[in-house]
Amino acid sequence: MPAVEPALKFVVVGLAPAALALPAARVLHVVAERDFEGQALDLRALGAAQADAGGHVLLVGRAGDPVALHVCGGIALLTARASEVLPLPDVVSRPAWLSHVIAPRGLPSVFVLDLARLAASRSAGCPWAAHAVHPEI
Amino acid sequence: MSSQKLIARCVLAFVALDVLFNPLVMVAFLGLFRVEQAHAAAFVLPLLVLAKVAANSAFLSAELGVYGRATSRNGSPGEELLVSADRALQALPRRFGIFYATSWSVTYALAFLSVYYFVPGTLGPRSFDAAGMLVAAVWFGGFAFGFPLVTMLTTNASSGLSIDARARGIALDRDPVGLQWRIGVVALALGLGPTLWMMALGYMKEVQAAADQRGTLSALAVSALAENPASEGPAVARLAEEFRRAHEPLGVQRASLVVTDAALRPLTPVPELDPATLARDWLKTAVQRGTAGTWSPRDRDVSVSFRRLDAQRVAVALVQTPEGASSSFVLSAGVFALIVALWAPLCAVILGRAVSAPIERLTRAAREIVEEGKQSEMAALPVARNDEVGVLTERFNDLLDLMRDLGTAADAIAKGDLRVQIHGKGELPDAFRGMLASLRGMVHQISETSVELGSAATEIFAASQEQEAAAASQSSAMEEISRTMDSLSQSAAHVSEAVRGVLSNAERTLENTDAMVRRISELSTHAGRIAEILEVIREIADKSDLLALNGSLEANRAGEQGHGFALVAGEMRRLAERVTASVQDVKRLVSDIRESGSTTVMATEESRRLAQGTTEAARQITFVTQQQRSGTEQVSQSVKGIADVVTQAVSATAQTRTSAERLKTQADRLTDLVRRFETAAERAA
Repeated sequence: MPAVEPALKFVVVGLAPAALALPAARVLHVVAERDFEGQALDLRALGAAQADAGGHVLLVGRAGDPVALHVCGGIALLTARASEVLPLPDVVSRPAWLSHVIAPRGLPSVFVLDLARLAASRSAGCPWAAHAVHPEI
Repeated sequence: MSSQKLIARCVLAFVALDVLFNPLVMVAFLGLFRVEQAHAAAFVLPLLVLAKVAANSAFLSAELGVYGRATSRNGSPGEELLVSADRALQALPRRFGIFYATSWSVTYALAFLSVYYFVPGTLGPRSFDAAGMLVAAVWFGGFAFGFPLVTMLTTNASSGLSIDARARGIALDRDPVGLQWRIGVVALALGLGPTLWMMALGYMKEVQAAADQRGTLSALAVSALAENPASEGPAVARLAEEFRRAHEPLGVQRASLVVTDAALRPLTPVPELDPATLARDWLKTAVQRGTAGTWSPRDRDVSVSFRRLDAQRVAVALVQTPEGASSSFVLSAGVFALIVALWAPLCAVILGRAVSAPIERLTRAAREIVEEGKQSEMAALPVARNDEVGVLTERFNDLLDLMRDLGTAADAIAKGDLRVQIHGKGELPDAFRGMLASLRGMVHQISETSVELGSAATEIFAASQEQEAAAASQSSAMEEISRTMDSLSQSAAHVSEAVRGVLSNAERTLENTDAMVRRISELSTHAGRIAEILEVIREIADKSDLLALNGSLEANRAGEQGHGFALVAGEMRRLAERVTASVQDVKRLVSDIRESGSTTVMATEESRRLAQGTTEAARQITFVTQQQRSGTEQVSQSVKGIADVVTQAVSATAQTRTSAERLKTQADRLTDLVRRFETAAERAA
């Protein structure tokens, strides 16, 4: 019996090629932006492929000290084989704060956010500014 | 003439009259009554005369007061005042004549009484008789002067009032008093005044003569006693009786003789009527002064004479005769006064009648000429004498002849004969000649004018016929226009009716459109509610999606244990996505519905605007139609008015034509009429 290739699950925000993927295991919770109050990194420029898609705040990192990411666009769960998740070279990933690219059948389509670095640095030096998100009254 | 001037003239005239006659009358009065102590009377009489003058002046002023008001400078007097002033002037001669005569009588009556009281013994009962005659004489004399003098003085004033009244058309209220009656009254006064004066004078002379005769008889008696002196009483008494018998034809009723001493004590028997006692006062004085004397008063029936016989004796005789004037004198004087009283006015009336009768004939003839116009039938008035009235009658006859000639000429002119010749001199013949010349000129002009008038009437007749035909045609055209305007008015009425229907439909459409707009608005509101509900559903779906997503994430973190939950979460998520998709579809549908509603509302608004436009247009059409109809009716009325005017013009033209015909006829008649006047030129032609 052949060995089963492990599958990786990602949370994808937006539509390709502007989609942004986050490892599902690292996403603690998804909150509608109108239900969130607090500081969040503004990533709406990355996933704003759908004009009518609402905004969400993704809580990532540790459970007691999550990092809030304010994103825009539809949110979907994507399951990819491990072979289809390719690491990015440092020259690309480093300035873009990306870690992998998902390339089904060899075609890269979605970049994966480097959540490990983000969690480690606590967003220091990242290109996305933090801003306050207020709940709708 | 002013009233002050008239009053002054009257007062001066009568003052002059009094100044002239009063001294004469006064002297005559004093002489008549033999007033020897005249100083008292001379003091009283002038005062009485002055009072008389003052009373006359006051009476004249009072009587002429109304004339003064009528002739004052405060404008023209009223009719009533003018008539009153004339009435006062007309009555003044009679009233003042009576007053003036009465003033004379009162003055001399008072003068007589003053002499009677101030000079005692001068006047007796016989003087009262004469005074009565004198008072009556001066009354008539005063009236004879006052009446004609005032008549003369007021003639100018009365004439002025009559002229003023005639100029103003006011009839004066004057009594018609005949001239002869005025003359008769004056003649009566003139006759009775001197007659009564002469009667008084004669009466007093008669009385004086009787007294003188009585004195003479008493002197004779005392002479008889002196020639037969007897100391015995019976002899004296016989002598007295013989004397009485001898002189009884002379009126001696009684004779008394007595011889007294120097102290007038009787030496012979005292007779029944003792002369020494009767005339004792006179005898005492007279015996002291002379040897003989006679006392014979006018107002006593006895006379007493004495003669001193010697130093111790005085013979005294008394004779008694009837006192006063003789009855024959009184009778003859009374008859004479009666004859004067009857004859003087009768003669005056007869004489006045001789004067007034021709004047009355003249007056009657003048009245007949003025009021009845009978000068042509009137015969010439007779001329009896060649006095002023006769001359006046002659001139009246000349005037009558002139008027008759002028009347004949006027008749000839009236009959159309303008060839008559007017003779005579003066303004009236000249005016007739001027009138005749003017009439000839006018006849000539009328003749020419009538010919021109006939020609003009013919032209007017022809023109009026043409005008009448044109007016008749115009009247027909106007009637046709009137009928057309009536038809237009009816059409406008129909259009107005139809437009009212359109207006009703448009208003109903507007109401329906408004209802539709309200319904679509309600539908839009409902669609809005659906959209809100869909939004809630979408939110629920989103939350469900997030919940399913988070569930999937949790299931993923749970590993194999969460696989089943992950499947459920995935199904739930798909369900949420399908709900969201369905919601989006429904929202699109609702949006489409709302868009359709909006489009419908817009279309409905357009329809509403159109309906409003239709309504407004219909109203304007109604208004315009009404205006058109009103205008058409006004035009129709105007056309009818014009038609009426044209009809009147036709009638007027017909009347003008008729008038032209009549004018032509009148012009022809005028021409014929003018041909009746034969002028000298035509006759010569």
